[in-house]
Amino acid sequence: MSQYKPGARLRSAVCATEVVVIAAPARDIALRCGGAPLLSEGETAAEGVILDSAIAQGTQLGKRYTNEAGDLELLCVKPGEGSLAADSVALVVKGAKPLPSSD
Amino acid sequence: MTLSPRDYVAPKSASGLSPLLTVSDVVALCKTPWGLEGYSPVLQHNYLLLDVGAEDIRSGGGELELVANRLRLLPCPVIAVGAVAAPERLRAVDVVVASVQEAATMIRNINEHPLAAMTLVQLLRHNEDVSPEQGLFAESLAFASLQGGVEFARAMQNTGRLPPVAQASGTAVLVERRDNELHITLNRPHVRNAYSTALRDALYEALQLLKMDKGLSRAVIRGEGSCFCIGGDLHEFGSVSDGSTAHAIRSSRSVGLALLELSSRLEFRLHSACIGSGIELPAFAARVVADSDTFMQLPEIKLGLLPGAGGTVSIVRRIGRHRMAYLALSARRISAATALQWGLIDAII
Repeated sequence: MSQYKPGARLRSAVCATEVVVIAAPARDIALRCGGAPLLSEGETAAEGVILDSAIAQGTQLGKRYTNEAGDLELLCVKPGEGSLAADSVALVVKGAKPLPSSD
Repeated sequence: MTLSPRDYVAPKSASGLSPLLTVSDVVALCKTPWGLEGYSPVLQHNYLLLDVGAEDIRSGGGELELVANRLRLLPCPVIAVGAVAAPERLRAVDVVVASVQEAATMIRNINEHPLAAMTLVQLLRHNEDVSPEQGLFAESLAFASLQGGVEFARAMQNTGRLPPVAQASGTAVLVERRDNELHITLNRPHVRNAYSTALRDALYEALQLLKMDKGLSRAVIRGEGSCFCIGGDLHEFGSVSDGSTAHAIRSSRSVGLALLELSSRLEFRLHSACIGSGIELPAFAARVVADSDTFMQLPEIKLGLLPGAGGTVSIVRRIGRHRMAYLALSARRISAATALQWGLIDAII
């Protein structure tokens, strides 16, 4: 459990996923990818952690991931096999609001 | 009797030429408020044709420079005819051609779409003196004005609005990270990468990634399929309800502004057709390379529009206002070799 600041870069302990924090709530949250806690810069993975195949729908490069409350937003800067979760609830892709053609 | 807008029709001089004036003629006409009054799409002449061949331009325009401020306010293109040593120094004119024959295509386009031609040259004069961001803002307003104009309406009537095409499965842009480089591929090869709403939004999203991840050194942008990009998706043309809404949309998700901001970290790799936005967007990048079979064209005037994807900033920064006006008024294709010579691209590979 940690608090996160916008701009922080986090990486998965079990796959290639890396994210940049765009927005985070001012409270402790548990961020995970593929079942294992996301690592801050300088942190190393706990020994023996492996990707939980039930939490491996993958992350997509350039997509933003958000929680239901909408107060957490992570930008995927490197894709990987794991899925992102906060406090054990899967994050979902936040699409850009649709804008029609300007032509 | 009051003249209603319906009572007058802009002159249709499609076959006729406005007179070829000398610099002395223009200086004389500038002596009274009425001398150049007829030079306007809603009065007598759609353009002013100026013979600069006989003048001594070496001194920086001499006599012509004296009337530059007056000519830069003229609501129509000022076309300079003649071999000029340093055309970029001719502040008073919008475009330079070697002969009246060379001006012919341009004059036909201007006569068919005089409002678009006027708006284009006014915008280019304006953008020369303002920041790139202000230039993009002005371009969007100018474009909006033409979107609501009679010439675009006529073009849409003639061609008929094309039905929307279902978005093919798959994403409009492919984004891949290779170490510290982002590789962005325009991925609508079935429609020669026509710049649709889907492509705009996907490209915008990819650029935000480059902006947010300082670990990415740069992005390389290409097009999948037979050409880089044939420009705005004609199937979407005429779909927006009005010019003011269109301006609001452009202001809310501006790919041009994003490219401008990230310019130093961008490289475009072009091949074959680069039409309209297909060259306007690449021109923002610090580096643009192209295959030898590449060609560029700005055909917007034929629809009563102007280049509205940032080209009146990006292309002007690379080749100057006069050559930009030449491309946009003539709608002529130029080869990769010419583009390289002009500085529109940086290398042929």
